[in-house]
Amino acid sequence: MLHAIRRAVVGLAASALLTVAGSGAAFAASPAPTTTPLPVVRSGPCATAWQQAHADPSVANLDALGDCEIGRRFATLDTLGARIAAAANLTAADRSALAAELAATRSGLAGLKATIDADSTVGQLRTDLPKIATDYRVYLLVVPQVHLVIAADAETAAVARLRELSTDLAARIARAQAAGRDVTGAQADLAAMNGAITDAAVQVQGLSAQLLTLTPARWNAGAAGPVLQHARSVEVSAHDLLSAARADAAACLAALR
Amino acid sequence: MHVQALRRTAARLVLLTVVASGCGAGATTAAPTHADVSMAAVSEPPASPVRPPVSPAPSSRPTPPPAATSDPDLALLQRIDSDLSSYDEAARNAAGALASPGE
Repeated sequence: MLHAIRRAVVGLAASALLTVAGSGAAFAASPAPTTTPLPVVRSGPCATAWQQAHADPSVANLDALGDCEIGRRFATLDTLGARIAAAANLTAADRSALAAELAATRSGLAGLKATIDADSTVGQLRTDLPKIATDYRVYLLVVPQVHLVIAADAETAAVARLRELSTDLAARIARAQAAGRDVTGAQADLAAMNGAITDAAVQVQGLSAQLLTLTPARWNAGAAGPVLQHARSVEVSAHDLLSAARADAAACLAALR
Repeated sequence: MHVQALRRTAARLVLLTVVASGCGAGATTAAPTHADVSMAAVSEPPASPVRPPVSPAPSSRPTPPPAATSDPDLALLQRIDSDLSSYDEAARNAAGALASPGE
């Protein structure tokens, strides 16, 4: 519950960044851009910077706000990088693709930071600050994308191991049968296991590749969000199947003892 | 001679008991892993530069690794459990990120 509240607060701050985008767009046609107040953000990682920019939307305060928002994204990218490095089941290709995406995001944000630091008017800053969100989508796209790819590859690894186990169990059943044992139960367990493995494999097939095609531009066009949600749903379903297959395998082993 | 052999055996038993109890204590006091801490940072950007120490609830602590088995199929089952645990952690983080209300 506490985490949910914190997320909501962080999200409020994030939404505020987008509000700047709206203000920026409005200001583009307005002769007096500095008269529209910034939203009030009372808590979250950059709350102080937001409050100062709200109270006094000066170049210095807006620049500090941009630095804070970019800085927290750098911290998130660092953490994601550590997660990628520690994910044992990531394929080499997916690991490389995710690392490249993080590097490109970091590089782009560093360039945007330099631009923001060089901005000398409030109008320029109101144009550039929203790009921190819209051009990179660190929280709405990159974070879930990384976790979903790690999850999909873990499921793919589980499929491969379950298939290997299935082969071993079939051999065990054959040996037990040759020895005159009743293997009816073990055979039923193995059949159920194989069915679940097949269904799970179909579900996770190509999932990581699909996730890796997503970009901030696709998010902004409304195309990436549904793909992320669908991937999450598919992974949950595949996990249920893999858990069932694992239980069938354990039952089969027990029946053969 | 016989008494000395008995004493040596008794001493070994005491030593084994001490070692075994030490291992048991270690297994039940698993410290939070780096992954626990780092994931808290992803899903929850810190509200202040000074982050309080993370102490996960007992239910979220990593379970000790299962004992090694000589049965290759049981070993495979354990590796499958490890794969599914990796999935669980990534899936939780993905769910948290997808529930985020904004950028």
